[in-house]
Amino acid sequence: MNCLTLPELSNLKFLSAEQLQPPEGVPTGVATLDNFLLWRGVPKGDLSLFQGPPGTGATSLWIRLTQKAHENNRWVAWVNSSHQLLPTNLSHQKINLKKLLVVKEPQGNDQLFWILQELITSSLFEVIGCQLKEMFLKNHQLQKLKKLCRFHKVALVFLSHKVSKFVNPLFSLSIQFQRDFITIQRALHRPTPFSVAGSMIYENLVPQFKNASRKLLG
Amino acid sequence: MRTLCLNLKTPQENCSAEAFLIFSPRVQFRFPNFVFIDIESTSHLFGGELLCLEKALSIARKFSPLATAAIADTPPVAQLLAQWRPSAIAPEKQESKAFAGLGLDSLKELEGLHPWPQKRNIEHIISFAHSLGIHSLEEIHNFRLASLRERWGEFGVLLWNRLHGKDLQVISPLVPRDPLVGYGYMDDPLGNVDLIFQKLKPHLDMLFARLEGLSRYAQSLDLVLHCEYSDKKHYLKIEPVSPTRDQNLFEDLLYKKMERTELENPIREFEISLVDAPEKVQQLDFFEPRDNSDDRWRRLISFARQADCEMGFLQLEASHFPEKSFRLVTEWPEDFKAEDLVEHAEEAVQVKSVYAKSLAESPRPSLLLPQPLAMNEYEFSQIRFVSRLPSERIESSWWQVSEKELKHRDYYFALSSQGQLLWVFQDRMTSKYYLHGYFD
Repeated sequence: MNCLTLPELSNLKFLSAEQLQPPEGVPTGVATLDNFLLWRGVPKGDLSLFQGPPGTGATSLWIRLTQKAHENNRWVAWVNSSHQLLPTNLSHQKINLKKLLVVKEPQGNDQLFWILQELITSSLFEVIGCQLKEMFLKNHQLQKLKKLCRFHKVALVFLSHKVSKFVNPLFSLSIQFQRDFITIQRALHRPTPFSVAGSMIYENLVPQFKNASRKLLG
Repeated sequence: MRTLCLNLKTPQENCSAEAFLIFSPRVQFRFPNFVFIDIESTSHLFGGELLCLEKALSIARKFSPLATAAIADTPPVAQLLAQWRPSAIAPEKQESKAFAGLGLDSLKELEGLHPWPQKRNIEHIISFAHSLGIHSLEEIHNFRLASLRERWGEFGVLLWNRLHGKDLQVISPLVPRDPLVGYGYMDDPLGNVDLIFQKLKPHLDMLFARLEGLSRYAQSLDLVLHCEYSDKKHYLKIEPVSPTRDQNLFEDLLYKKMERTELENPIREFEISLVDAPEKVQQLDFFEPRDNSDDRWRRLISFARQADCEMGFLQLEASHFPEKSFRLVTEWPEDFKAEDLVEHAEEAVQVKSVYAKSLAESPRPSLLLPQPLAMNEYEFSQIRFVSRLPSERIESSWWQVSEKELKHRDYYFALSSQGQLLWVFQDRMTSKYYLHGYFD
């Protein structure tokens, strides 16, 4: 009769602290956020969700991700909803428009899901941003996208205009954008919720919108 | 003249010879299924006769899986070997060694570009030789010219010439004339995409092999499916972003388009036609990276186009109106020049002012609404302007006064009650306020 024997403790190989690597991420360029998150940015090969009404800063954070991806000579894709990304603003922020593929608003849920699959499996992009009026992809579709992202090492970021109180566990990172601060609602292995001042993201924006001015306006 | 003969086994059309133009311009088709290629001066380009033969066979098998080939000095012997000794390469100027040991029936294949004028004569020679106890080709080869002429006249001379490599048959250069089209008729009408696609596949293989031979690219592919129970036709057009010879891409696109076509009325006939374009000449620099990401995004955009989804790069346009200041393009976007052009001609300097120069510095929101959204009184009461004076004024010429088109605008930055940073303008004609974007 065969019996299984456990290996002796002395024969087991343990990893040293130097050998432990955090999972890969795309840096946001916001030091507070990058230092807080396990991935040192937005997780690569996983799904992230930025939610908040338009005009609260989600797109600015995504543009910062794009800047970092372009610095490494990587491509980025963006899926429009009814609101369009304005290239004049992007060129102010030194975004290379030749490495940013833009998709016009898809006609419905199925086409959106199909487009996201095609974008991920093309293995061209490091970051894919998808703007939605509200999150209407089903869980099984998100699961499939998550699997594809993991395989192709793509950071898929959903930017939802509708805020949901329920935090879907399929998103490894979920950030809510509010009036003057942003709240990290979910981040793996980190204590949440965690709030960061919104001014950190608006650093490079028009001077009128700097935190100080906004406080004056109340 | 070294000749490569392909025996395609099944009857083919003349145009199938175009697929072999990559080996030599001298290619000739002989009805019903033979292709002769003069590889005298081109075989070394493919790494020798053997590699040339293998490559030709791999192309020929797209037309017919049983195709065979052989190489010899003259077309008749090459045809004979292709039938009786497939993949044989006869030693140069010693063809007779290659057919040593073959039976007399092989004489029927000793034709080349010109078939035997009468089969009866060659059959008579074979039966006559058998009656004399001659059973191999070698023995016929040893006959003298005079004896064959005496018995069979001109026909005997022709036989002797062909056996001794003296029958000069010259392969002429092929001038492609046939259009790139395919047609199929199905005995049993089909309504299943996979089955129809199987029927289409050989035609596509052949068309793309011809394209390769012609050194052309396919710009678009048109497929017409004729229905069985009515005169209804399905027209499917596949047009990638740029001309290409990527058969897989066309097949993927076609399959996806066919999947979306309703085929309740089964298909009886189909017509395929390819619109070709000249091959693009790529002059790659030695240090240029061989990255194929270019092909990948073209492929992606082509896929999206078939699914009626627009995809591309943002191209800046010289317009002050934000909604007209960009468009989606499927090619590389050009750099937007926001500086004046200064030209020096001898001692004169000419400054050409660039339109929309100030656009580069103007603050613009990250998200723009497709159409300005008129704000009602309640919405207007909920926002707070950052400054009393507008940050920017955009207007058209004085003669283009129009209330509908909103061409006289004063832009403001504003904050909503939810803390949203808005881009709002007041139409100076009607004094109404409109929301136009978000500093998101």
